[in-house]
Amino acid sequence: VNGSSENQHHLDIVEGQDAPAGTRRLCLSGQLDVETTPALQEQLRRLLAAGARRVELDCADLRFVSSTGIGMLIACIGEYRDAGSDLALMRLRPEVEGVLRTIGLLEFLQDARGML
Amino acid sequence: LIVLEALHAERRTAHLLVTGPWEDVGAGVERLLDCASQLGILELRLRSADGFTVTRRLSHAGPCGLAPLDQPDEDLESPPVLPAALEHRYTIEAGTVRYTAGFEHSPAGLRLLSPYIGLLLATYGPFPRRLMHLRLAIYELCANIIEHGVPQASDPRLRLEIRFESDRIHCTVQDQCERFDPIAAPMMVFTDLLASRSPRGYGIPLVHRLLDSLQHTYDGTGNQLEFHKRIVRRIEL
Repeated sequence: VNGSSENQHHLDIVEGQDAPAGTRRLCLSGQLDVETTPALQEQLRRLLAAGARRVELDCADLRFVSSTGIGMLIACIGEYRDAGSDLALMRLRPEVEGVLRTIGLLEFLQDARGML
Repeated sequence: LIVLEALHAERRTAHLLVTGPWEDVGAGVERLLDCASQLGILELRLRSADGFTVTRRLSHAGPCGLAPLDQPDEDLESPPVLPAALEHRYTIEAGTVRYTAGFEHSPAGLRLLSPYIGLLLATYGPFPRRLMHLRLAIYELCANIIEHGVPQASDPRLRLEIRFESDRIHCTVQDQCERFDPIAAPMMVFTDLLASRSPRGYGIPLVHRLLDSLQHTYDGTGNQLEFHKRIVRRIEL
């Protein structure tokens, strides 16, 4: 799933085909910021509404995450937990991981269910 | 040291001047290419002070979905990669490189700010973690102004200055808004935000964590945020 033509750069969201059974994997490429966050949020909520039990975000090509993206991830992780599902962040780039660690998000996730 | 001299929106080309030893450039070029691709730039030209030039063309379409490089330039669909409103300038004084950029006080202005800053910072050297911190802090402060600032001018603009010093990068962001001090706003702590699963409120606390200084002033016509990030070369390397 690519961004709309009006917002054609920043974040590509592609569903990975190699996810384990029962898992949906979204491969993110670009940056998660004020403009691109709503598209990912919508997709995550759609997957949850469709009954996804575990969704993995492959962040190997995610180069930038703003506070808007961080807030959305935290809110979505909460929604997944409430529904008995998991939302996991995988293969974070070191510079992005450093930012998430700065606010304690990684520890927050690990404390919950070892989601990383 | 690499200096970003020019960005050509129509030709999707960036010109860079290599002022240091040519052999030191190699390690940084891949990061330059990475950031350039986020801006939709298809070609980087690096020129040494003695006139030696290397051109690197990006072999992928890039996140802007641009046409492949085997098409002639004239056949490329050509929406401007950089908004004409992005005013890019640089100076070198006593070995200090100073960039200034002016851009629209709008989401459109913000849209390309992050990759532009990324490209500037990539010229500084291989310090990805600290440079990411600075890139994010600049983005957050500008996004905060665009979201919450009340412009006083009819065509409001933001002005960013980035100054590369020996052990730090010093930045200034100026707006044309009514008095608005993001530092004075009450801040929640991260643990409370996380515990409440708040989707908002992380920006300014995050900026405080990422920067080594942050000051606000107001002169009656606009606000100025001045901040810096130390870059400790030896430790980072």
